[in-house]
Amino acid sequence: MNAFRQHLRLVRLMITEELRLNAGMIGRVQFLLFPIIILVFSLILALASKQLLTTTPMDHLYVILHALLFAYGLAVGGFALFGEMIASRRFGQISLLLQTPTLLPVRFRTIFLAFYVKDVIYYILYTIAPLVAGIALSIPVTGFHITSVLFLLLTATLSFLLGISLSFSLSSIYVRWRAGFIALLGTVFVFLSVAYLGKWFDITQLLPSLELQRTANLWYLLLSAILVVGLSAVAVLTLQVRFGSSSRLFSAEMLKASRSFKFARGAGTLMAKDWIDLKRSRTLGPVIGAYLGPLLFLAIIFWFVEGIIQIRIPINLIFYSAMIGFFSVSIYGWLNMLDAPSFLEVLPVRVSEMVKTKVLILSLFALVLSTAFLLVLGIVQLELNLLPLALLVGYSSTAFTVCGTAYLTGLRTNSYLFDPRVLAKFTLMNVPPLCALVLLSFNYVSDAAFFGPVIIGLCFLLLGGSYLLYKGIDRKWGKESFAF
Amino acid sequence: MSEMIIEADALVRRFGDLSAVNGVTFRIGKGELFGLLGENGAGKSTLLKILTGQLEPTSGRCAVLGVDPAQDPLRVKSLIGILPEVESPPSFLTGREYLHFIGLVRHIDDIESRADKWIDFLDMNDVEKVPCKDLSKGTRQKLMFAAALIHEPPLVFLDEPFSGLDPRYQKLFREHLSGYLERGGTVFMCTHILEMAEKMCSRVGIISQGRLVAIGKQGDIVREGEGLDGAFMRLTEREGSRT
Repeated sequence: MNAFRQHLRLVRLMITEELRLNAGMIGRVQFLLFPIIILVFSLILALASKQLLTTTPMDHLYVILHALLFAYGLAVGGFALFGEMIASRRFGQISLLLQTPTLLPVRFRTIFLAFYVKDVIYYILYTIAPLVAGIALSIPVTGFHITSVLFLLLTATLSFLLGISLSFSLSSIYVRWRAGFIALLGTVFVFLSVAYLGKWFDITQLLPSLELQRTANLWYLLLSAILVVGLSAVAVLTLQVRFGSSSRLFSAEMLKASRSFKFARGAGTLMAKDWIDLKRSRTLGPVIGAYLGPLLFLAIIFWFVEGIIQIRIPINLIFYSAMIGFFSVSIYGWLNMLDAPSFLEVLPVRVSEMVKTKVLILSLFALVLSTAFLLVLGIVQLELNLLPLALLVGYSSTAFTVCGTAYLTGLRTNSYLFDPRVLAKFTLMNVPPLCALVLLSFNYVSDAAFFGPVIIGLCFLLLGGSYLLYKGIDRKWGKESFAF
Repeated sequence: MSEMIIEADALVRRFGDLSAVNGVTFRIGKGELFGLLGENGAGKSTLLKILTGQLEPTSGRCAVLGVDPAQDPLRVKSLIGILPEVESPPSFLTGREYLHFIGLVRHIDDIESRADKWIDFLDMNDVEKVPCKDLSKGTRQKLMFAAALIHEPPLVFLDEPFSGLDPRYQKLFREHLSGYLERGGTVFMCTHILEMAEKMCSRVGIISQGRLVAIGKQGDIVREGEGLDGAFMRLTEREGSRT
C-alpha cells in the first residue's frame, strides 16, 4: 500500500513537472487556453448536431469520433520508441524525473510506468475531458441526457486508452525484438486483410469501446479494460532499459557532407550537420514515416469511408498533393527535435539561419518524397495526366506551409503549436488555402479549362507568400536565443 | 596604458525583480588574464553572457574589441572564443567532426591540421570516432576548450574552464593559456576556484549579488595576513550574501 501511495505521489510530481514545463514554454495563459478552445469547438459542434444528424447517422459520428480518439492514442503512445529521444534530446539540458533511474535507486520500469500513467491522465484532462465537457455544456439547448454524455466520456476515454496502450506495447516490442515486431505486424495485417475481404466480421467491431457505445453491453467494458491493462502490462514488462547503452562509432564525414551541401552556400555547414544528425540519431525512418504515414492514413480513411460507410468522395491526385503540404509540418517538427541547439549560442550563427536551414532540408525531403508519392499514386490511380499540376500544387503548398510554420514557430515548433495564439495564426494561414485547393481539386475534373488556371494562380500566390515568409524569418528570429 | 579590449559602463541586467548584474563598470587591457570571482549565482555567467552577445543588458553599455555586443552580437562572436559554463557539444558529431564544424562556421582554411593539433595536444585520439553525447564530462570540457581557441582569437571568455578536469589537464590548460597570453591574447575567466585564480590571474574582480565589490591586482585586494580566499570571504560577506 505504501509503495502504491509512493507511486501515486511520483505520478503527481510528474504531472506538476509536465504542467510547469509546458506552461513555461508557451506561457501560462496560452497553455490554459488550449483546452478551452477544444471545449468551445466541441460545444459548437454539439449545438449544430441537429443539422449534422440530418445528413450523417449517429452511428457514423460515433465511428468517426472513436476512430479519431483511437488514432490520437496511437500517436501519443510511442514512448518506448521515442522516450529516450524525448528525454535526452528534446529538452536538452533540462533534467526530468524520467531520467532519475540513472542517478537514484529507482527501477526504470517503475519510473516509466509512472510516466505512462502521467501521460494518460495528462492527455485525458487536457484534451478528452474538455471535448466531452463542451458536449455537456450544450445540454440546456440540445437536451442530451447527462448519463449519455458521461457514457460518452467513458467510451471516448477507453478508445484513447486502447490506442495509447496498443502503441506503447508495439513500440516496446519493436525496441526489444525488431524482427518479432515486423512478423507480428505482418501477421495482424494479413489476418485483417483476409477477414475484411472474406467479410468475416465488421472491421469496426475490433474497437470494443465503440461496441460499448453502440450496444451498452458491459462485456465490452470488461473487454476494453482487460485489453488496456493487458497491453500496458506487456509494454512495461517488455520495456528495454536503454539508459547507458553502448556507443556506436563513426568516421569523420562533416567536411565531406558540407561539400555535398555546398550549393546551399552559407547554410551548407548547418545542413551537413543536420543530415549527419538525421542519419546517426536513426530519425530518418520516423521522419519519412511522419510524412508518408498521414498520407497513407488518409488513403485508408477514404477507403474506410467509401468502403465501410459507403459515402462517395471525389478524391483525385490534386487533392493528395494539397494534403502533402499540410503534412510536411510534422517533418519540420521532427527536424527541430534532432538535437539541442544550445551549443550554437557561443558561435557566430543566428537562430534565423538555423530555421532557414531546417526549411531547406525539409524542402529537399519534400521534393523527393512528394514526387515519388504522387508518381506512384498517379500510376496506381491511373491519373498520370494530373501529375504536372499535382506536383505544382504539392511543391507550392509544401513551401507555403513550411515557411509559415518556420516563421511562426522557429526552432520550437512542438511547443509553439500548443500556444493558442500561434495555433490560431497557423490555422488562419494554412486552412483557407488548403480548403480552397481541396474544393478546387474536387471540381477540377468537371471543368479543367476553368479550374486549372485558378489552381495554378493560387499556387503562384502561395509561392509568393512563401518567399515573403522565408524572408521574414530573419526579422522574426534573428535576435532569438538558442538557449532553451 | 595598454589597449582596452573590454570596456563596461554601468551594466545592469534584470530578470523580473532580480538584478543579476547591477551597475557593473570595469576595463580590461590587452594581454591581461582577468579573473571574475563570485559565489554561485553572484552574476558571473550573466555578465559573461552580456559581454559575449548572448544576452542583452537591461541598461548600460559595453564594448568588446571595439564592438558593442548588444548591437552586433554576431560580429563579437566571430572575433572571440567562448568556453561556456555547461559543456554541451552537439550530440551526434564526433569530437573531430565538432572541430571541423567550428572550422567551417568560422571559415578556417587549415581546419584539418588544427584539429589534428588539438586532438593530439589534449590526448583525444582514442575518442575521435565517438559521438559527443557519449564522451566523458572531462573529454567534453577539453573539446569545448579546443573549440573556443582553435581559431586563435585575440580574446577568449572562459566560464569555469577547469570544471571536470583532472590535475594533469588543469596544468595543461594553464600552460596553454600562459603561451596564449605571451602571444598577445587576452583572457576573461569566470571561476570560483580561488587557488586557480591566485596562480593565474593578473587582475581579479569580485562580484557579489550582481555588484562588482572589488577589482584590481591581487595585492590591492588582499589585506596583510589574508589570502585571496580570505579577501573573497570578507568582501562577499560584507555584501550580506551569507548569514
